[in-house]
Amino acid sequence: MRTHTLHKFIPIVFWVSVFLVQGMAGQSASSPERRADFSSVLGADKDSTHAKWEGDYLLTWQESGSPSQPSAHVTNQNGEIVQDLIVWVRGAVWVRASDMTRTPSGRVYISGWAMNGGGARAGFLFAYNATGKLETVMRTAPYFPNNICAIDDDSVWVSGNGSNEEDFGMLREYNIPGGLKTDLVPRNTITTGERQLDHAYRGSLTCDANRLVLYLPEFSRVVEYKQSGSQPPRVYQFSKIAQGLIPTGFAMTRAGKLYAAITGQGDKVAAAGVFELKLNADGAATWTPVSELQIPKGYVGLLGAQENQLVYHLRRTGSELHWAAAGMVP
Amino acid sequence: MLKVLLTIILVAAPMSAQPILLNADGKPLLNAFEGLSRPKSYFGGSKKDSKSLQQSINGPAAPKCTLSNSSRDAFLQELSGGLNAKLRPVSSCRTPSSGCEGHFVVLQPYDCSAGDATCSAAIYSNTGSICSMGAGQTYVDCVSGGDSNCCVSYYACTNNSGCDGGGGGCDDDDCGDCGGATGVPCPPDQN
Repeated sequence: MRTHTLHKFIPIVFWVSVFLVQGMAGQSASSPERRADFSSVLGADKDSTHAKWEGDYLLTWQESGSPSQPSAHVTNQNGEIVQDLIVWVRGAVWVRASDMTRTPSGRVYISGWAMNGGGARAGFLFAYNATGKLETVMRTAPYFPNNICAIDDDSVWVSGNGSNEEDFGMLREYNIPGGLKTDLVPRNTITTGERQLDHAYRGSLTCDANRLVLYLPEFSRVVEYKQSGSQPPRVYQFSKIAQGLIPTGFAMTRAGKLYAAITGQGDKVAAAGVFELKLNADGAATWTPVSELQIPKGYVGLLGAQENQLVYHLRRTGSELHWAAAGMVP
Repeated sequence: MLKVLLTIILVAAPMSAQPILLNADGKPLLNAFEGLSRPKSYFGGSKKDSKSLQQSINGPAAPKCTLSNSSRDAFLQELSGGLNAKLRPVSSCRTPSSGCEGHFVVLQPYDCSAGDATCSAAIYSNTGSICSMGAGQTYVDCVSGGDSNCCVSYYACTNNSGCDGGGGGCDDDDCGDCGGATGVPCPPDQN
């Protein structure tokens, strides 16, 4: 007879600490205003596909790159693939893509790393022109890039790790083709002492011409960097996401509002939803539910924002995306 | 002359199709991996055969037991609760140390008698929350009787890239093609 005691470890008050409902009055959201099918790049048969929404486009990529087959795609809002991207670097036997971003003019950047036949490994940034041609591959060794965001002045921001443990949790700015410009935060600022910001970490990095935001649910932190000023990036702390709940996406709208999705399963379905993350002057980030989004089965994957509408899906392996205007009323 | 010109064009055309390869300082690289070598720290600093790699991953408490289907089902039923769980073979995984996201559940049975008097098992998430049912917590879970004192580790991942790091998880890098039987090196500084 086994002595399974899992239930003892399910805290009774698990979500109370996080989802103290604040300021619900004045929030507005709506039921899905639009939905569209993206079965060309999403669906149950594409289970290993990563996806995010940026601007007017869906970005999808497979973790494993290929020298001959496109493993990343840019798809327009009508579900038509407009860019097929080869993710590969000469000399590699194995290429892995970590994240993908697209600038308003159509340039695409993919972060990842590769290994050659001798076991040497290095991080890389793949830069594509607006036609999808891979123009530049920049080696970032000894830095391994993870999340990536870029704007049209050739600035590329990347979160990731150095090769040594003391170099975990770095946020860097590159110029492609110019090279590394700067480390935006002191090493280990983001991840101090808790866990290595390793391959397991899945954050989100979003940006526009004014602001860069790194969302790190595993570390309960949001890092904000305002490019126009001289201030260094600021780290905001939020309450630890309650046990039994999973962060499933992040978005920054054109208006600059930040949203994060939380998925809850089983008896935690009721706690699932999309929340606005407000960054407060005291350095705390607080959650406010977007109450009107319908999350029928507890799963919501927030892929990003198109203008001020959130783009999300309600089935993990589904191909249908939803749009909803959230938080339009200040 | 024409032949020479044609040759130049034919040779140059594919070359020009290649992307520019740059180092992080913006200077050109001839080879993507020039100056780099296999990390010395990888699996203890030396190349090992796949059997040794397997032992490195699993440690002295390498899986010996086989979890019965009924136990697996019971665990999954209790754990998944809609997690869209599916089992993956994890024979080459070692004990997890950091998180994943919560899509599929992996059970890793290992032998309680091999140094784990009280077996611990945990599931992990990238928030340190859902998978573990208690961030970073472990709970005692020994399977006795028909399951020959197996312990069970749980992994729950949203996708097959989310749970890797630190030596365990759901990612192919650890559970499939990283180390272990295949000997394919693991992701950067993960194992």
